[in-house]
Amino acid sequence: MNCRRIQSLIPLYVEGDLKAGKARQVRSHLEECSGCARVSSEYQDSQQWLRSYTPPDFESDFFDGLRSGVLREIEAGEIEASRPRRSWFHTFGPRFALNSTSLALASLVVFAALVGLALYAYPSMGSDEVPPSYLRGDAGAPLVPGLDARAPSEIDWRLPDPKPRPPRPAPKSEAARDSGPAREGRIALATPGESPSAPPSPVAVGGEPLRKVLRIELQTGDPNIRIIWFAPSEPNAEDSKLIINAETE
Amino acid sequence: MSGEVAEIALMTDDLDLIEERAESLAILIDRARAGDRPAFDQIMIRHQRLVVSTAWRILGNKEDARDAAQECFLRVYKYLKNFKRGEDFSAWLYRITVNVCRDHARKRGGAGRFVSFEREREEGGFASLPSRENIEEEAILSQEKNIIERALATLTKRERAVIVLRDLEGLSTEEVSEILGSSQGTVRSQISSARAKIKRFRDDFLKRKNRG
Repeated sequence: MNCRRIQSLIPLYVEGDLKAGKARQVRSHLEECSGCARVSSEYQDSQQWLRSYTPPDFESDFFDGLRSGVLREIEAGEIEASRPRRSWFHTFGPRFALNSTSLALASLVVFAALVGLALYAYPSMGSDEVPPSYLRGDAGAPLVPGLDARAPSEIDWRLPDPKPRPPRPAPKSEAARDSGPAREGRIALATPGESPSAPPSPVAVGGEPLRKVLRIELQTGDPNIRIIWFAPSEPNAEDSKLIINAETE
Repeated sequence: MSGEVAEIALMTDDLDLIEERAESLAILIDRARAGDRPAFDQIMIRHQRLVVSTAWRILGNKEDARDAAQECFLRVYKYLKNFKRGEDFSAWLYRITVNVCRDHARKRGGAGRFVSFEREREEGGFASLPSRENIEEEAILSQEKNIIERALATLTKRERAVIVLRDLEGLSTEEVSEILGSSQGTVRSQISSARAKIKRFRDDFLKRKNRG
């Protein structure tokens, strides 16, 4: 603290009106600053001087005259003692006296009203039903499928679309559906280059004819991560594709 | 060791005396509430010095102090039935006294005897302060009080009430704030301002005295 701030606190410091922390700061400043110490000393002298303002010695006649004047006015009836001030409860309390039973009932009614109000405001309160979203990942994939109380066929395993989409056209055939972007967990037998979105075909090594591969796609909960596994398949697997939805497994 | 025992015994006696006094005051208050005039007179005898000296310090003269003290005891009589048991009677009495003095000062006209520090200086109030020779005479005649009274007259009514209760009656800041119904922060601010004004008045007075 600078000298100006200290000097603004000195009037309170000299009579112990400062809190301990500030008083300590002022004291340590005064030990180092002779200018502020002088101001403090002047304040102490000023306070000493003020205290010499003592009342004169009033004679006993003065006090006798004072008291007799008061009693005279009281006896003359000019001053009437006021009635004790009564609180609202004391004034009206007896008329509406409440015993403990009625108080308990009133409390119960108030409590029930509060609970009712809370249920009205938050209808989901008090329900044991766990929203299905708790059982699925953000993308709709089940975290623990076995926990969902619904039948697997009722579960919508598709990924939510981040953007609102126009109404869907009529459902296509299964084969046509599979040619679109793979958004479902599936295991498929496919020939390389079948789909524009399909991964590059296994490269022929040593000029050998291309072999059919088993392509397994697994969509994870994260829409950006899809696990695709290519495995050599039997030659007579043909071009047939086997769609195995998770719900049928 | 025996000294310590004696001191403890003395302290115990003092405590007993205080308790006895408080108990007897409570009895007197009960009796006065029931209309016992001698009991009320006893209450006045016990507190007359407190009321008169406070009123004198606030109003600055004997006549006004007597009028204010009389009005104060009449209010005590009137409102004694509202005084709560267990409350500090002195604090209650101080509150009434300060309020009566304020009303008295208001009736006396405007800001009462309050003369601002600047006005006192502009109107040459300091010029009429006694010279060195006169100071010695006045000291003999106990006129120092008159100078302090002038210093106190430069305070506002609030500042004066605060400084009288805190510095002259020796109450704590907390007690003063309760009596005046102000926050402790406000009381501290008023105390600080009042002490600064009084010091400035005294500094000017001392300069003149040394020059004279």
